[in-house]
This record gives sequence, C-alpha cells and structure tokens, in this order.
Amino acid sequence: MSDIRKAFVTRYLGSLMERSRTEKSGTKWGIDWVVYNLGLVMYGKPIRLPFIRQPGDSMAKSKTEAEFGTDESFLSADGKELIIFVLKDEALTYKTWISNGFEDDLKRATYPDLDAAELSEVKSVRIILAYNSDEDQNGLTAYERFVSNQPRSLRDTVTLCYERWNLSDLVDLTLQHVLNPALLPQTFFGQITYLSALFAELRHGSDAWQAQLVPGWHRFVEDVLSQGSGERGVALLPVALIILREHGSANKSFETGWLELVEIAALALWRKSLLSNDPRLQAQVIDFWNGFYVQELYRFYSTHIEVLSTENSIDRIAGPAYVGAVAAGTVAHWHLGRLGLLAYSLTERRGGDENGMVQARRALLHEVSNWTVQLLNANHAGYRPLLDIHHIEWFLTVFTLFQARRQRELNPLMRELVERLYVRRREHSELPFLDGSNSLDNVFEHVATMGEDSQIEVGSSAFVLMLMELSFFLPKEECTEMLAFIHSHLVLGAEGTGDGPKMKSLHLVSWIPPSDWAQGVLEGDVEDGEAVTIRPFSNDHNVNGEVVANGLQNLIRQMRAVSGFPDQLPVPMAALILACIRYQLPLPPELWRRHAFPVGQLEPVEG
Amino acid sequence: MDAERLLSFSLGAYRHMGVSDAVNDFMSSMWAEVLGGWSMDERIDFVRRLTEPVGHDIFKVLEFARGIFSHHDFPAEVMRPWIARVREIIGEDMAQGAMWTCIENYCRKCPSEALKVITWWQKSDPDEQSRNVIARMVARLRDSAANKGELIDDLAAFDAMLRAPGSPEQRSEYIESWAFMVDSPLLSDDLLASMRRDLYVSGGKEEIAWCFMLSRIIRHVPAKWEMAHGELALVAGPDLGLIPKYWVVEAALRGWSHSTPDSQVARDQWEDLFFQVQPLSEADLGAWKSVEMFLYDALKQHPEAARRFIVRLASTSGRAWEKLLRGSSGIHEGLTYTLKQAPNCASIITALCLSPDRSARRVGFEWFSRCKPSRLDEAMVGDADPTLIEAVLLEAMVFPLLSEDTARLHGNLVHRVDAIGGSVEDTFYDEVSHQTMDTHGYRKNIVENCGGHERILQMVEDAKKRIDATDATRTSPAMQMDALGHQRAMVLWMKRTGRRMKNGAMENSFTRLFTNISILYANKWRMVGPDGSLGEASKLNRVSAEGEMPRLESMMPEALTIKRISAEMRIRQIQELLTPSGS
Repeated sequence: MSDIRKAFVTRYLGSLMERSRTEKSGTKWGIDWVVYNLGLVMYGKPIRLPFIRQPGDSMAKSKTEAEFGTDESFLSADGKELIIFVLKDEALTYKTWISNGFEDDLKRATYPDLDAAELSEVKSVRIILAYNSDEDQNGLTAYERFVSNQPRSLRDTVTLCYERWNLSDLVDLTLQHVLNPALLPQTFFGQITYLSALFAELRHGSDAWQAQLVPGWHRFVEDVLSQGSGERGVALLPVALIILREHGSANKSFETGWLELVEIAALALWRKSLLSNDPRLQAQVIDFWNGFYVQELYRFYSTHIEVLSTENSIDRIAGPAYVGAVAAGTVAHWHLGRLGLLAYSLTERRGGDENGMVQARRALLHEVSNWTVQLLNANHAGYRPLLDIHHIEWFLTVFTLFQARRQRELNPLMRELVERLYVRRREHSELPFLDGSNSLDNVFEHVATMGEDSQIEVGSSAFVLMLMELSFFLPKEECTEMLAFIHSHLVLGAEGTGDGPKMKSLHLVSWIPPSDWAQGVLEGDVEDGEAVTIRPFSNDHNVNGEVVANGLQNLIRQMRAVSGFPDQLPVPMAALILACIRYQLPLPPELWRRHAFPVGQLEPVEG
Repeated sequence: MDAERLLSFSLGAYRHMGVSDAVNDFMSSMWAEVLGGWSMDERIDFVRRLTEPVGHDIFKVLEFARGIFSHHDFPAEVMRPWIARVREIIGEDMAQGAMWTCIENYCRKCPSEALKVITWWQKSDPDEQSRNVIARMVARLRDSAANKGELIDDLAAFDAMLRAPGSPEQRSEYIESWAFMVDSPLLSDDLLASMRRDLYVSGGKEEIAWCFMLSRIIRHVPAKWEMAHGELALVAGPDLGLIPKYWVVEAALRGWSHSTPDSQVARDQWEDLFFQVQPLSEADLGAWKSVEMFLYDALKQHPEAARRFIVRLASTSGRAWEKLLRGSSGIHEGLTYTLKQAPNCASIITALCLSPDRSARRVGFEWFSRCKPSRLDEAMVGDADPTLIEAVLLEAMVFPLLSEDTARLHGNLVHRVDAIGGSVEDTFYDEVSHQTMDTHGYRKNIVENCGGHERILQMVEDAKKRIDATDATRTSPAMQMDALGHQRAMVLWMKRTGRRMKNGAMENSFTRLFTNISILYANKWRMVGPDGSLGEASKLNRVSAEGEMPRLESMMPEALTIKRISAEMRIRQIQELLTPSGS
C-alpha cells in the first residue's frame, strides 16, 4: 500500500498547477492549496495566501495583487519565525531558473516587509522554494549559488535561511501531514469528508452502504472528472481513494468495500478515457488500472488468501439459515470474480518478453489460479452460483485454470458444480436454481419465505449454455461425457438413468452483443443485441455427448455467420468484464468461444 | 323446591362436596326423591331443562339424572327428542357412561315407551349415531323382554324389520344390537351362524358390525373365543376397512394379553390374527392406539414376546409407524417411558435397528432416539452382517437423528466397524469426520460413547482445531462484507420461523388441551373466575426449548443433499441384497 500511496500522491501533486484557478477548460488545481494545508499543519497561522477564502464558494479566488515573490507565508505559533513559500510548477533547471522566475521570485522573497505589527516578534525568516517537479544539476547549482550569496540576516537581528522542497519532499510531507480530505481541492472537501465518514461507518454490502455511500461516491467521481481539466481529475481519484482508505481503516469491512469504490472509479476513468483523445490521460487511466486496481487486487489476495482458503471461512457466513447460504454464495462469487479479473488482467498484459516478464506473469497467473482453487476447495459457497449472471465469475474461474494450463482440474471442478446445481434444479430444494432475472433480492426472498410467492425465473439459462461451451476446454472424451452429463442433469433435469424425476427442460439462451458493446458496457447500458434461444439438443436422458457437441458447434457456426466480435477493443477486456460484473450484463460468448472453438478449427457455416 | 332451584343448586354440588361416585350416587338418589313429589308435567319440564346446561355441565347433569329414569316414567314423545338431543351434545366425547346409564334405565323402567321411541326413530331415517343408540336400546329391551316376558312379539317384529334385505344400515344395526348382549344366552350359536350366513357382507356396513360384535365376544365371553377367533380369521386381511380392522386389532390384542396356556386360542394364534390385517396405515389411528395400550402391559408382563411382536410389527407396518412417531399425533408418546423401563429395551431397539427391513430399522432409530439406551446389545451388534452394519450407517445419514443420537449410535458400532474394515470402515469414518465438524453435541457424545477409541478421540480433537481455525477468520477484514439484502432476508426469515415455531407449539398435542389466551400487556396476570371474582395475581412462567443447529446444514446444503442421495441409492442396493423384494 505504501508504494501506491507514494506513487499516486506523487502523480497527483505533479499534475497540479502553481495556483488553483478556474478556466474555460475546467478548474485547474494548484499546488498552493496543498502547501497551504501543509503550512497550517507544520507552521501555524497563515499571513499571506495567494487566494481569498470565502464562505459558500467551492473554490478560493486567486488574488491578482503583486506578490513580491511571496506566494504564501506563515507565522509560527510563538510569532518568532516567518515562513515564506515561493511556489513553482516547473522543474528546477538552469533554463527555468531564469525564464520561469525562480531567481527573481526568490530575490523578492528575500526582503519581506517585516514592519507589520504582527511580525514585530519575528527573529528568523525561512524561505522555502517548493516546486512540484524535479531538478537537474545546473538548476540545483544555480539555486545553491544564489543561496550562498544571500545575507544570513535581515536588519541584523533577524536570521535568514533557505529551504528547497522538490516533488519528493512535497510527497513525503504530504503523506506525513495532510493525507486527509484537506489535501483535495477545496471544492471537494465537503464531499470527501462526508464520504470518509460514511466509509468509516458503514458495512460493505449493507443496505446503507448501497443507498448512501455508493451513490455519493459515484457523484464524487463524476464531479471530479467533470471539473478537473485534463489528467488532473484522473490523478486526483486515486488520492481520494487513498484518503478514504486512511480514514476508513477503523471500519472492519474497509478492505473489500474499498476495492469496490476503486472499481467504480476505474470504470468512470475508462469511460473518460474512451471519450478523450488525450494520450497522457489515457496513459494515466491504464496506469490506474494496472498500477492501482490490479495491484490492489493482488495485494488484497496475497494478504488475505490464507483466511479465504481456510476451511469454511466463507461458508461460515451462512449461520443457521439457508438465507445465509445465499449470502455466502454471493460473497464467494464476489471473490471468484475478483480473482478471475486479476488473472484475466495478467493474461492481457503484453510485451516485456526480453526481461523475463512473460515468465513472471505466468508465475503470477499460476499463483492466482492457486488462490482460486484454494478458495473453492475451502468453501462450498464457491460452488453456489445464485444468479444466471454468475456465469461471469464461472467463466473467469474456468478461464483462469485454462490459461494457467490446469485443464486437468477443470473436469472435476465442472462436474462438482453441475452436481450441485442439479441438486438445486430438483423440486423442493431449499436453494433455488439459478435466477434468470438476476435479482439477489428475489433469491433471498425465495429462501426466506420458503418459495412462497416466488419471483425467481428458473426456466431459461445462459449460464448452463456457457458451461456446455466451456466443456470444450476439456479433452475430447471428457468433453462429450461432460456435455451429456450437463444436458441430462441440468437441461433436461433428470439423471442419466432415465428414471429421474420429471422436470421441465431448460431453455438455453445465448446472445449476440451489439457492435458498440464496449462503449455500452462501460455505461452499464447494453440494451441492443439479440437474444438467441435454443431448445434442448435432445429429449433423450441418455443422449450421447457427441449429439450435443454437434448441436453446439452448429449453433456457434450460425451465430458467427450473423455476427462478429472485434479482436481489439479500446479498453482492456478485464475492465469490460468488471463492468459486466458490476452492471450485471452478460459476457459476449466469443470470450470463451474463440478459445474453445477457434475460428480455424470450426468450419464456417456454408452458404 | 322448583325445577330451576334444584338444577342451579345441583350444579354447585361438586364445588361443595367434591367429585366422586358417592356424590353422583347421592345426587342421583336425591333427584329421584325430589321428583317423586312433583307432578308429571313438572317432571317432564325438569327433564327437558336437563339438555339446556352448556359445556361440561351436561356430564354432571346426566350423572345426577340416572336415578330419575329408573324411578319415574316418561312418555316416548318426551324421550325421543330428549335422547336424540343428549346424544348429539355428547357426540364423540369419551365420557358417555352416564348417558348410556340414563337411556338403559329408561328402557328398563318404561320398555313399551322405549320401544315406541326406537320405532318412531327408526322410521325417521336415523343417522349413524342415532342407529348406535337404537341398537343399544334394542339390546336392552330384548333383555327386559326376556326377563319379563313382555313385548316379545313387538320386538320380534322390530328385529324382522331390521334383518330384512335391502338396507345394509338396518342389518348392521341388527348385528350391532346383539353386540351389546354378547353374554346373553339369547345370542346362540345358531343365531350367530345365521347372522354370518344371512347378514354378513364383506366390505359392507354389516362387516363393521360383525367385527365389532366378535370383538365384544372376545372381550366379554372367553368361552366363545374359538368361534370368534375363527370368524375373525375368516374376514381378516390387509385390505379390511378401517373400522373392522380396528375391531380385529382390538380383539387380537385383547386375546393376546389375556390368553393363558389353558385358553381356547393360544397367544401365537392371536398374534397371527393381528398380523393378518397388517400393514396398518397412518389412518389406522384407533388400531395404533390399541397397540400402544397393549404394549404398556405386554412389555411388563411378557417382555420377550413383546420384543418379537414389536420387531414383527415394525417389519410389517414400519412405514406408517415411523410416520406416526414423527408426526404431531402424539401417538405412542407414553409408550416411550414404558419401553425405557422394559428390561429388554436395548435388545428390542437393537433388533429393530439391525432389522433387514428398512422400515423396521427406521422405527428402531426413532425408538433409539426417544428411549436413548446407553448401549445397544453388543452381542447382536457383534453378530450383525457387514452389509447390515453398512445399511445402518447409511440410514443414520438420511434419517433425521439428533446429533447426540448419531454419536451414541456410532459409539456403539465403532468396534464392529473396525472389525469389518474396508469400505464400511471408510463410510463410517467419513461420516464421523463430518459429524465432528457439524455439532458440539456429536463431539461431546461420541467421546462419551466411544469407550476411549483413540482414532475417534483424535478426530474430535482435529475437528475442534479445524473449527477454531474457521472461527478465527471471523475477525479478518477480508470476511466482513455482507451480501446486499442479506440482513433484510434474515429479518423476514426469522419472522416466519418464529411464527412457524409458535404455531408448532400450539399444535402440540399437550398444549392443544388448553384454552389459549393472548395476554397483551404486563408480566403478571389475574383471572376473573366464573363467579365474577378477581383471582390472585400470579407470575407468568417462561417455557423455552433450545437445540443446537448443525453448523454444516446451511454451510453445505448441496453437498449434504448429494451425500444423502448417494446414501439413499446405496441403501436401495443393499436392500435388494437383504430383502430381495426391496422393501
């Protein structure tokens, strides 16, 4: 965590202007506000500020008066030291030393007006050159020569000294003193303070969390991205997240809750990136995704996998009631989804082959696949998808093992899942089959009321069709066996012996995403697209898996003939999958089909 | 004293003098005496008032009225509606003695008027309950006629009308009327033979009356046991109707209990008769009640024979027996105590649990759970076939045994399982492993019942460590998230569960005996009595029950269902081996 704190606070401070101001292109946030807050904490009473604070205004107004080199100044609590800040938003180089007024401003600041009554007790003056960038050797030499040629005292009785804070110093001091809502621009102070209080108080996943914190956070994210010009908004969000985390750590559920807030921010950033032509902004979003979200997922699971893979650690949530079993299943799938996203994002990364990065990523992928298996081995709830949309988590789980070259483990894993789903497919099961309306509320209500006036929809399933298609990840013989097993147990709802209980067969459902799927999914709005319904491939409970396999291949050939899915998308697929999870949108079947039914190996439909 | 005062005074008799037969006799004599001083109209008025009291006062009134019907005459036009009304009020209540005494006294005192009553009544297409009254009155009148030589022709005409072909109801009424005079010399062998020949119809109402009469013969006339047993054996079969089956059961169990080495019919023959009507169904509640009453005595008097009887009954009617034991009928609840006290309790339960018949095994589990014998019969367990032991282990997985009972069962079987080894051993220790993770009750009881078995003790320790490890995750930040809607659903579930438990408690056979009043406020209560006076304040007592919820039941419901389905399938395979008919 300390690494991302430093990295993203650095990026944020580095993105700031010298002064906060509102322009046509948006609000520009300045380093002045950060230094102002540092000054308050470190030195005391502000004497001169570059802005006018007014109650009711979301932003302080910049002063237009002559500053005489002094951007901000503070008086120590005992009134004996005057601290003067000279602020710059450029690197300290020999060129900027002259052209950007480093030298001139320092010279003017060296002779402050000490006649004011409030400065009558001043015994020393400290002039701090603060710039949110780095320096080169010539710039540094220019600064040091300047300092060595300045007087050591003013009016003989007041000592004078100089300090220099570069970006690293600013970051260290910020982390040390002002990692709180005050660090953000004043306009967001109220919002972030409120959100911090909620985050510290509410339990992740509770009704209050969902009703208060999540909408508030959404609003905050949109405000930041709409008000901050260029990459500054992008740089601010991770800092806001870090601040929330600092303040919410007393909340027992902050770990998972925080990840959820990160996800909301990530999706908003990808939306912004998609609409922007600014390569720097796009690079920052990618950086946030990989360096913040994925990094934090990795940190979370490497820290907590021991707990999550402790026997029944998630199952324990169930408590005494089947209602709890639904909750445990939900939590388990939350984790399966995130582990899957972590693995998927690793498989998406390209390049770095020459440095052994490929090998390192493979090792990481293997590690994540281990965690997935450990979680499933320890918790029955992992085999309890409740909604049809949980096909996303199961796609990710199967795909993780597939990518980690652990196909041998897929067969028992999928069989276990199918057996458990079959138990729920039977009548009078305490737990219902996959709810096609994807309403967790309905599932909870169904279980709590023992099926009275149930609103769940169990007649159609995309999940089951996906499982059948994922069977093609298995070796051929196992695949046909698995297909027959799924078809007889889940589709027809009876055991292979043929003497099982009579049940209505499932309608299998697939879909063809619209051409602008990537944009829509990030907005959480994919209303277009076409649903494809498929009858059982046979009514025979002892159907040969080959028959099902042929039927599936035929279906896929035909669907490919009427639709395509781009190989390249402007956003990492893992981010789009995250959007699917969060907005409960189905995955495009080509995600697995292109691996299970490679185009070259599956003949296109004739004609 | 007028009618109203006499009645109101008498209703307070129990309060002042207590409840006893002597008080009843005294009041009965007093009423007869007082009514002696009244005119006929006053007496009739009083008798009519007797059906007015509400609630339980009717029983009191009938007890006190016995004397007036044996001392005073009442015309048929008064008594016909009176008897019908009283019969209606008493309904199916068990306390019918006083009513019958009143009616029989009336028949003896006023036979010709009583004959008029039944003649009129018979013509009005009486219902089942009324026919029962008429049959009893006919029996009483026949007795009186035989003794006094009166009304013989009239009664013969009435009998002829009942026996005439065409009405099963009247023919059964005729047979039933003789059931109330089975010890009378009038019921000759010839008459019985003629009834069997001319009136009995298999499956008809006549069959009910016929079995009822034979049952009464067995109860009251041991000298005719051979004949009655023979006749019942002819009609008894598994498809016999509910009521005749009840009378066969009643008769057979009566014979079984009262047979001696010198009896005309031996105990085994009675037992065979009883099993001729098996299986009993859940609907045969009366028969099951008779079995319960029978076993109270049999377990004390003839424990070994009772053991054989129970095992045989469980094999033939186990399915219904198990359902009744587990249902809310309350049947056989009292038997638990008797069985527990029986010297051969463990042997009976072991025999049931190790029965090759599945229903019997399940009945055995139910008794094992209720009687809680500390040990099963070791010799029987030691001799049990490995397949049977496996069947018992699997049955315990699918049968809703309490964890403590499962632990006792496992504790009793562990050494036999060790001796068998192989897949039975694997099945057993898998289940022990599961159970040790499931409940504290199992862990505690298996330790107490395994006789220091090292492997079991080690498994219990391992389970505790595993559970501790799970519990330790409770505080991890990774485990704090909730599923949206979980808490709302819990509230809904708890509301519904609370309601169901409350309703369940109200349906309990014991609590159903009481009037249920919701006390809305406060935690003490006073009651206003029938006389309007306010009673003393008393505290409310809290009654609660608690039990341990198996922790794995909601943690892994699908896996447990799969396990139970597998166990069920294996039991069916085993059952094919044990009882090829596959019971």
